[in-house]
Amino acid sequence: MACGGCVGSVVDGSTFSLGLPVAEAVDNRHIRDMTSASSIKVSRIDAYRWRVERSGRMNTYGLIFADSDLMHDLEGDQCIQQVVNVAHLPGIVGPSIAMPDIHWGYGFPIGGVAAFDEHDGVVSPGGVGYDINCGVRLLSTPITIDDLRPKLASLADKLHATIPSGVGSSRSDLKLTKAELNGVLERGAEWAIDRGFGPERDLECIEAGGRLSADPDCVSTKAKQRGLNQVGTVGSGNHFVEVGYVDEVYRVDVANRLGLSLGKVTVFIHSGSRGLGYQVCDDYLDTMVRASAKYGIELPDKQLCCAPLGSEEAKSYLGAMNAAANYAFANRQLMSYYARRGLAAVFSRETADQTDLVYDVAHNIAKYETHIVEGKTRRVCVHRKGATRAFPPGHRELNPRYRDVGQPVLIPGDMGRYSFVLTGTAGAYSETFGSTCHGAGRRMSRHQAKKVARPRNVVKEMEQRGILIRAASRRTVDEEIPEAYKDVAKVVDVVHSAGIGRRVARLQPVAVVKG
Amino acid sequence: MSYRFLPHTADLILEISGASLADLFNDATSVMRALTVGNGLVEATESHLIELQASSPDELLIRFIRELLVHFQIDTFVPANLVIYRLSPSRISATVHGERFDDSKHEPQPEIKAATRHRLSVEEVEGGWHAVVVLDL
Repeated sequence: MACGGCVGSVVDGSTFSLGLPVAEAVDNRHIRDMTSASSIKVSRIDAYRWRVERSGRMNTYGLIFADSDLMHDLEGDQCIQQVVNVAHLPGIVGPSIAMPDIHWGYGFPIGGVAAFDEHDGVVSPGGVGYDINCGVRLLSTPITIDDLRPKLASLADKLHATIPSGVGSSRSDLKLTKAELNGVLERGAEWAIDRGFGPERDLECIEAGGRLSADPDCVSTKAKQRGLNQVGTVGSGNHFVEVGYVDEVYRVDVANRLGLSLGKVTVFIHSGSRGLGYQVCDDYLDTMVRASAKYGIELPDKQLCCAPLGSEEAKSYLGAMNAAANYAFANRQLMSYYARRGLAAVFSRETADQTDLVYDVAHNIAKYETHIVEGKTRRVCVHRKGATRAFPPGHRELNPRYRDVGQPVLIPGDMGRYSFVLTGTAGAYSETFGSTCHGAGRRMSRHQAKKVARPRNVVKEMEQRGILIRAASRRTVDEEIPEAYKDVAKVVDVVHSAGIGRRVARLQPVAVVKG
Repeated sequence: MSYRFLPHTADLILEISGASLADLFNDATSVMRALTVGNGLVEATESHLIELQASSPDELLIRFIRELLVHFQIDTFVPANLVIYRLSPSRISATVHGERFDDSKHEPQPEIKAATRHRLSVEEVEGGWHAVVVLDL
């Protein structure tokens, strides 16, 4: 078995090492040409894996999951250089990893995963991003697409009216006191459940139970000010609330366990920690610029500024980052509450009561986790920036509800095509620190997308395809046209075929609320 | 006014050129106005004092952009123009005039989360100043 990882033992029992011979591939030269730095050497390992060779001051190699088409899509993009940059950071364990939805970000590439040793490694806010714990959650309702059709427009309007969207959107009906905000920062989704924003059972279906060990005192006053009235709001850009239904099932037994039988209506939510998270990131980037100089860490990109994991700077950042992550968990919990209220208003109270949370997962986060690396158990700080945790069946951190099937993984696509539900695998656990892709990934710049969309009426086009759009801004809709994204089915094909995620079901959108 | 956006897959690369450092900050204010309300008219009915210090001109510029973003996020304040009192590569003292976002005349734009340090540069060049900032959308 050709395998690009060095993280642990492979599922089938074969072993591998950093020095694994790399298969020469016909595409090698092309990949070299399309990266901006001619010194970057990329070789094909197998149909879904590419190795970025170690050179210069890199502490490890890069490992990119992609097929030939997705690699071609990276042409002109700086993301492979960013994979290389991350490989320079001190204490990196295993390769600098990129998922098939990789695209050019700032600091880490979007779709990047990197783990750092708890003693020699670092934590970098640039490896998490501004929208801390940006993530997705999926609800399954008891109604079918046939029940929904006659009332679809009413539900879309109701969701648009009850869940504020757009830039700086805020809730006039829920302005937190400072004490309540501290409760949110400390207890995340638990705080929301205690306040009556959803049933207790929801907590079983959230990564880390919807609460990370946080220190609200590490969050600045300005960040808290930005967070006071934004909890329960969508925000802008690629964030959304999407009503859809299950249109394909690949594993009936697992899909049924997740409440995702054919034709079942779902609600997909994508949002994060809003202005509070952006401010936490900004505050700690300032701290980390100073820390990098103080600890003598050489950086290939200033946005990768970082601090050693044991340092005071790192502890403060992790305390604040977890607080922002809790804010995001609470935010998505409140959005679910308002989605359920919308279902109650348009259908019935019973419909809302029988609407279950399938799962809620972060895709911008850094977490201490235990992994087996080259046969040894090691505690590492895993950075996932635009990547999803994908723990395998049997993992002790999973709630008993899903421990036998593995962690549900939610992969939203663009607003016009489809989204996927997968489960985590042993392959992901051994090769990618229990991580997989997070979405489709952009292939067109926003500027390009706007230009393409300008002469068209995208909302009308989508309506003709059976998808209602409710949006705060036309520009957002134009920038988010389906063709601006890679085909998420291709991204999911790669992770499924590479064994770092396993397909369960596909969802078809019918109504989308955007910022 | 001289600024343009360079191609970037997911975010926005902003390039500004100015005859002076003051031009650069004035242009940054205009860009932030355009990025928050598009072409809509912004009147000067409200003002905020901005006093910032930084170790270098690039740090000063991203702190300045950040300050404008925070005013927009917290109070929906949209900048119209800038009156500079003191400016050096490490310090700015200025008043930004503008008004709060108004649905009736302003078109909402996608949210700018932050000004990043990725490929950040602010340099004195022949004939003025040149800056590159990647904005996270």
